[in-house]
Amino acid sequence: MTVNEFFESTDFQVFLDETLRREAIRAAEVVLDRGKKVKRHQMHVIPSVIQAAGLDGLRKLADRQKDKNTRTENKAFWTEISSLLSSTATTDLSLFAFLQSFLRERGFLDPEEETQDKVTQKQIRKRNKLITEGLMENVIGVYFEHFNCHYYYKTSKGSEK
Amino acid sequence: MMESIPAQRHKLDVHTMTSIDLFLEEYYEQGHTKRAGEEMANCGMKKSQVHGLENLLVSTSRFSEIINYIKNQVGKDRKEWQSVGPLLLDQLATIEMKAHEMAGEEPAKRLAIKLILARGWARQVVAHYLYGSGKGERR
Repeated sequence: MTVNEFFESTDFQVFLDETLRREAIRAAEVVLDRGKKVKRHQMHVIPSVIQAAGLDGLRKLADRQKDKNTRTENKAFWTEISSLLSSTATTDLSLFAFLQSFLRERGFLDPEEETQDKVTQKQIRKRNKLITEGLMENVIGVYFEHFNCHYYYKTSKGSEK
Repeated sequence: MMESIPAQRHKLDVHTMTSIDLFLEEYYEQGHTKRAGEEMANCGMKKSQVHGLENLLVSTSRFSEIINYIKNQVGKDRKEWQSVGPLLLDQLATIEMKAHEMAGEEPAKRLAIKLILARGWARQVVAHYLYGSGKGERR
């Protein structure tokens, strides 16, 4: 199965419904555990920015917000979101790393270590990055639906019941 | 952005459909959906709010959208949703677990079962809610 076939498959629907949800919930909990609780309206803009300008638009928003916001908790929150969107390192808050690991497990990425040639390695890395970014662009809307709703739920009074 | 493929396209066999019906019957008899419907009526949830959930259940192709809808409503700090939201989410978690059990290692089947179970569950909950809220009006 190619990546494009994967996007059209039921496996992809399962990924959106289960795997991605688990990851988004985990990430929302990490952000909350670090005490970066922000008011709901801070996050309201996320879905519409994704709708209008995609992943790139959201990255720009997060970067702008983290530099702009004067309230400590807002600044900290947007710093976490910016890292979640842009970090490629295997940290507890990197959507890229999570997706890349998923793609690798499914055999959609070429292994870099199979060749000793530096130029070929670089080409493979670039190709893998493109595939991962493609997946990220495709799932970002649903990812933030899971993330935001869980965040709202956990920060509401009702979730304590 | 990717359009979602309706999970219900997956055709379920008669045996699975029977298992779904049996589970929903048992769930009804155990009083879970009655409790949820009654709590929705008792906390003063408006019919339009319940119909919002009902409409989503009919139109969605993704089970997690239902969960997210409830979380979102609870997150708005509306007292009706706050009082009943956690119970609804618990019941949906049970439904999801049951779907995993029924479908085994077949992801397409799992998605289809989850949605059918959730719709059956919602029909029961809404019926109890309407009955419960009607009782109040009749008094």
